[in-house]
Amino acid sequence: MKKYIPFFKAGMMEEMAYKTAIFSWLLITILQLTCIVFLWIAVYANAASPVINGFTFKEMIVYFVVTNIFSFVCLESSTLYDINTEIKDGTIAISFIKPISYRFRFLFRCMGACTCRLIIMGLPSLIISFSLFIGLGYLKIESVPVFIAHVLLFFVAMILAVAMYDTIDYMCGVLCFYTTAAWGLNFSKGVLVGFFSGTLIPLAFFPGKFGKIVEALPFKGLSQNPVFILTLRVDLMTSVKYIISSAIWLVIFSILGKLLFNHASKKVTVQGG
Amino acid sequence: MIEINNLTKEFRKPVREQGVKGMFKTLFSKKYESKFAVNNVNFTINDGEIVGYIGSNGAGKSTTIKMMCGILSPTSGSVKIEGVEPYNNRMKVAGKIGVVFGQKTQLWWDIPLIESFKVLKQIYRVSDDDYKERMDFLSKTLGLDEFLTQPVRTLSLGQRMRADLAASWLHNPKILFLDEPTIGLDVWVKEKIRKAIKVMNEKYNTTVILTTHDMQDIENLCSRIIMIEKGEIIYDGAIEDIKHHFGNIRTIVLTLKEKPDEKKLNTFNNKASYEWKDEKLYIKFDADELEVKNVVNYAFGELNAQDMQISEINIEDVVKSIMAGNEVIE
Repeated sequence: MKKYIPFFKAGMMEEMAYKTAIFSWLLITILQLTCIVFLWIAVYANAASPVINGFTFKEMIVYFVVTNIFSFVCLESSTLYDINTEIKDGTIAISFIKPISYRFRFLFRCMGACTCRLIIMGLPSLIISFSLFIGLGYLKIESVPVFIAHVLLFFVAMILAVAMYDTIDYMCGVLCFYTTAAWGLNFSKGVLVGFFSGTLIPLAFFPGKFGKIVEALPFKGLSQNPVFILTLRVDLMTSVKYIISSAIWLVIFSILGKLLFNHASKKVTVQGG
Repeated sequence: MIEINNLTKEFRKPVREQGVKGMFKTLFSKKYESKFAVNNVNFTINDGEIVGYIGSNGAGKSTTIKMMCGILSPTSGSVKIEGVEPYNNRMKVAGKIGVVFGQKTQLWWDIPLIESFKVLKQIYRVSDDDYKERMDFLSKTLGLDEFLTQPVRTLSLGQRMRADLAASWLHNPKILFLDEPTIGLDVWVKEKIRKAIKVMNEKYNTTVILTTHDMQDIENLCSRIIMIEKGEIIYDGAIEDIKHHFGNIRTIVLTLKEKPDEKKLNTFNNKASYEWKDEKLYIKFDADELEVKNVVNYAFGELNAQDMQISEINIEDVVKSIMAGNEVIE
């Protein structure tokens, strides 16, 4: 594992280079959240009941604020584009002659980048928003030890979510071995994840059978589950269940990724030179 | 040891028709055109050899190298490095080989060179002592000190290539693949690189496989050459043998006061041939059949030559004529 530390560091350093990107995110997110708050004010004002699909207005706001911060920190990976670039310019040849796993190299880089975003933006904005939620009565903490347990479980769920997201990104990247249509793959991935992970809307809003299918898919572990754990929407028992289910899915996806790579790497053609 | 058995690589590409109509046709057609980049190649390279792997552009050199270091998988046949197939066990073989692609760098573009070396040290798990010793050796032979702290993107081609060679060898690989390591370099840098390769081979017994278009590289470094043309091996053997493949040919160029009467020249029983070109007389003969001394005596004695040059056939001429497919040397 020690030999992957340079890639973790590189991920952190590269993220640090995009300071302006981080601050423009802050601005955009504040604007976006303002819009969302007004949207939901309108929705709840015209609703027949004060609870929509299990969410009160306050819970809905808490959910969206935390989800936005979470997806900024965790659901971001350059793996797909990096693989595509390596295939396009032929540098993949260089990657293949190093005694390091192609998969782990990208995973550690992604983890490094996430760590950087978490420290610079994630933690401060979570602390500020939680102080506000508690101060304004949007969130009630009945027992501090239980809350701390939730926070710890959240971090486990978060690491699993990052690994899972990067694995999906990696698999899309490996598909670029067959077709160099990175843009299309990235777009499809974005829609899939946005829709089924709960970043767009809580999964409880999906109706009937479709809702049941979405609930059974692994994507909710990417965002909704960790957010539920942190915002105390689920108890500790359920939190642990979420984590176990995410871990199992991660193993399954990793194996699929490995099989896909083994097949794809036989198809490699190196461009140029 | 490297063993290559019946190695074949076939590239398939879809046949495209021209124009817009053709483009739409290609969307639905599944016609493929295949090309054998490497065709049924066999050879074995022993530890400590320096082998020149030569051939014209597109002959299949790079494809073979890429299969040898595990980047490409062969269509059929096998490559074995120390008994392991590199394309099936990438991680296992990667620690034993070093690779330089003249046209690509393995250094990290934005960070200072020394940082790249430190990263490689960690990746290949080189111990502190080994790292220090090898860095000393590399900076001395390749002159890395002057640009060690510069970011790689600011290096000149010559500096970058020296750095790349150093990077490929930092983990002391048993086998070093050099794909056109001297492409586009000036004479001084070429010299440094050749010297470093020679020391790596002599002192550390590194096996070197070298592809190049520069015959000076071959003549200075290699004891054996393998020639590939259109994916097939056309020569594999010692460099001396290929020179003598055409006989031990010498050419003597004489500067004379005036053009001699060609009919009166001594042909030594048809063993020497003459040509008058650019106000000079060219005498060509096989040194195994005719003693050089005799021809020289004749030139200064009877022909009263003012100046003279003797040249042996060089490897460049040999390669050129083999590639051209004719065995006439000019």
